[in-house]
Amino acid sequence: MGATAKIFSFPLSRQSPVGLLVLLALGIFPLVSGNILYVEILILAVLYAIFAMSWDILTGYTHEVNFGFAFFIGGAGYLSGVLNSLFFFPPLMAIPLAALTAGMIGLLIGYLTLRLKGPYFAMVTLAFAGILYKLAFILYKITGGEEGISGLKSLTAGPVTDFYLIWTVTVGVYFLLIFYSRSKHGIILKAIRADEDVAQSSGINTAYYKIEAFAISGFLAGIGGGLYAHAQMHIGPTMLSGTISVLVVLLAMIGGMGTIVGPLLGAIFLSALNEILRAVEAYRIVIYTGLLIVFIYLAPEGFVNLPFVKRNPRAKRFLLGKEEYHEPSGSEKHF
Amino acid sequence: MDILIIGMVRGALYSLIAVGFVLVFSVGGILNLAHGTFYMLGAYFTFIFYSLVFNSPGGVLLLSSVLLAAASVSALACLVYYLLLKRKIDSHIYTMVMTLALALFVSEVMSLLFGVSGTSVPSLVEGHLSISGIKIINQQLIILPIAALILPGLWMFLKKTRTGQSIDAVSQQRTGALLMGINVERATLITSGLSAGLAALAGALIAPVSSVVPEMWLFPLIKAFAIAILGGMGSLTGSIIASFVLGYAEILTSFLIDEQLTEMISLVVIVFVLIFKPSGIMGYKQG
Repeated sequence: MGATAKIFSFPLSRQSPVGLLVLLALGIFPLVSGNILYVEILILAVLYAIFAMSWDILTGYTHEVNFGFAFFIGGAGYLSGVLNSLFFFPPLMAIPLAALTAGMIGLLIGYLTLRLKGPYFAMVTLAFAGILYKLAFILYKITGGEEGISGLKSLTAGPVTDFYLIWTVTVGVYFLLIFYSRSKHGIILKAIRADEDVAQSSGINTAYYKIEAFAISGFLAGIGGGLYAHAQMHIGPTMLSGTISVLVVLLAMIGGMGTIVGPLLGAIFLSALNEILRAVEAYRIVIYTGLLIVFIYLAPEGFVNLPFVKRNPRAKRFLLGKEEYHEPSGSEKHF
Repeated sequence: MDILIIGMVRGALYSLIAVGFVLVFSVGGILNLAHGTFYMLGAYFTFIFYSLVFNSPGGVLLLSSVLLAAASVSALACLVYYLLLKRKIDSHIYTMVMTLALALFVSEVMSLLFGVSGTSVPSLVEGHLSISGIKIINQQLIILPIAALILPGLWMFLKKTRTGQSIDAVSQQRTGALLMGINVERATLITSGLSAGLAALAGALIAPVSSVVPEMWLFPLIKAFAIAILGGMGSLTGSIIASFVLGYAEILTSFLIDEQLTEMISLVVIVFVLIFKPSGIMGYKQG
């Protein structure tokens, strides 16, 4: 992990301690517990963390809500699945290829849609994802319709090595996004969030930065989607459905948008909660969705952005790390 | 001929759903993703009142269950607005995510209570009409007079009564209305109730001819989106026109091309209208 931080010449001491601890704990877990079931659960949790973090780089930093994130996740998952099952690409080639395509398409869609703001942008992303979802059924000869594509080649030999591969990617994505969000680009995105018109009149090409963020988030989600398809050895229309898009939004939002750490924590915490609730399987989804409402009610800006954290410098340092300023909600009226 | 009538029925149904959606958006600035849920609850509450509460057959009882369903859903929507949405009405993200979480929650509750396979409600009017050899179920036709009654009624309410005028004023200029001494909170509350009531009515009326399942909230929502965008967000006339355009477009596609493509239409409409003419048919550009 230290090495990853050094690549970006980024002092570890400025990172969020909680984020590092959680990543480290995740990495150690399979060594401590040999239970394969837990490892499988962690694989899912870590994959959702990738989705939530890459969603955050656009929406958390610009407040343009992408409600169709399944477009990238499922789209890249399907693409990598088709490349693997029809053209026999090995997963390690199919996934980057699919992710790159997702990034390119993100560039194109971003170019077309990011002129729209607020609810309009949310709706158009929702519609794009919906179209892809329908296409998965209409093009059933390639996509397998409702059943999806099964029998994909697995990532590595076993779940534990699978986990470590995905975990490495997650750590990479985490540091990449932290690095990006603290760079000039991230600061510009925050300026756009605060007031796009002002940013524009300061000579910033706001459209360029938004499209860039959109493409990056699409690319990273594509990696996550491809990994998901091969880790599960199956890709089905559920990965393109609105449920996935919504879940990603909720994970990131409850964790705390615009922080990268928040979505990571949110994804891990809520995936764990989901598993704990399996004790009451019949009522699990009802309780789970009910709790989501309660969480959003209690912490509309997410748990790492609670007023308590903002007031308390130590808690803030602990959760968010140094140099991570998150503006209060005053900016929200404008989008 | 059958295309003409079925398209009209569909347009009328869509307009009942979409008008409320557009109204809430223009008045409260709420993109209500739980709108489809109110539609679904309309159907479920009709079933609950008719089969579980009254528990005896009869046209009057069924009619009153429909009305009771619409009323209770609109009360529920007021409650949702008052408890959950009012506190952060300025944040689009909050209202969207909250209503969406609510939609998921309600759909899960309903599948827990009544199962995923769905329930059914008897028809308000039995039988069917034959027009030039094509059978049309009466229950579908009944939507036409109801829509013809309600939509102008809504128009009159908004333009002639004091409450309606205050709602209209808030939708035109929220701050301006606030400065003129209009109770904006109250106007938004009434609009939430009204829009949910209309959606619930549509759901209750369509319940007998479609299956009442927990997932039925999604498609009306997407269609309400498409209509709102095509008609122009904030324009009631636009949304009514767009409802019929979409209704006919869907029927034409399913008759002429492929039934599978009908559900794509609303999605494609959303994408193209937003990319090429974001203000829609009758919308004005948002400031």
